[in-house]
Amino acid sequence: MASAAIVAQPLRLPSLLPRLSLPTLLQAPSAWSHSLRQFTHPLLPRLAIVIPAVQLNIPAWLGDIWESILRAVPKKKTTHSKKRSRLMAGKALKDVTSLCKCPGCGQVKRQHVLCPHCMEQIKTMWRSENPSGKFV
Amino acid sequence: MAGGVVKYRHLSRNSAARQALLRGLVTSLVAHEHIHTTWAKAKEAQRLAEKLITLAKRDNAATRSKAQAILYTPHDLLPKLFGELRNRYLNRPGGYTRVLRTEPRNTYDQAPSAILEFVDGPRDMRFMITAKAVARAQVHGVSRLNELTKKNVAKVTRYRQDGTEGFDKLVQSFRDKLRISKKKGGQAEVSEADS
Ligand SMILES: [Zn+2]
Repeated sequence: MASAAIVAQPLRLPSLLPRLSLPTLLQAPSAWSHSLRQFTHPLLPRLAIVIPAVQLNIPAWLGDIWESILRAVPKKKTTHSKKRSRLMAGKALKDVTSLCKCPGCGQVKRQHVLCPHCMEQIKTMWRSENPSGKFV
Repeated sequence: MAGGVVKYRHLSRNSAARQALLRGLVTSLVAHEHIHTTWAKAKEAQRLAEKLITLAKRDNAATRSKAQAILYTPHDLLPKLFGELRNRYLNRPGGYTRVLRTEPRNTYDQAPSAILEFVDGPRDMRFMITAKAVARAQVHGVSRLNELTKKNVAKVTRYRQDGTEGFDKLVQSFRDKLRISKKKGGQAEVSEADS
């Protein structure tokens, strides 16, 4: 009776809780082994030596790795802001320093680039001159 | 592109699409005398446009068929190319087009943009802007022009038919506009910004 229960329990549990199988198996052993010892000790001394050894050895061996290495993952998702500021570090827009005064209207414009104000004025003149814009 | 010298910009297209794009740009240029596009496209279209004018200047059966193969609407544009444009550039030894950098065309497309224009044509932006600069200098009583403006005046009037007269006339019209806005606004700078 007791042996059947002992054998069935560890087999059935992972299938019932597939997602939590490893952690639950590993976190639970102290409680299980405690209950197992209670059940097995008076009735089946031979089994009691073998089964608790299996139950105790694997979790003890895996448990150390679980705590130290397998659990070494970030606690929190990196926020959007944090990620963007990390990726965009050193890629900020640069100040435009190559500026000059437009000889046509006196406003500030970029060097080697047409003054947008003068351009707009001239384009309006052209548009009123020839609305179609075609010269054929 | 890796490892080799790039002979021309690929413009993110295969050969056929690139050729179609450049033909379209050059056809528009011939029809409208100037086009506003991205800087890279303007520079590539400039090459083809210069070649087209060279074909027009040579003017024989072979060049006519080649020019016809470049333009999308040859029926409308070939007479202009082999008439007006050919005569305009007959004395000019190359450099029939000009690319001027402009501010990005809109808020969303921040690509470097430029104007591609026929030199000495009716849509010559440098001609207009130089005239405006000269007019402003005269209105403000600046006797000595900026070195760059002087150079531009020489460039813009050198091969143009009636270049100097046309330029002076344009300067005069810009001066009149400036004077009117000066009277109206009191402060010249402010009213110029509005106009
Ligand atoms: Zn300006």
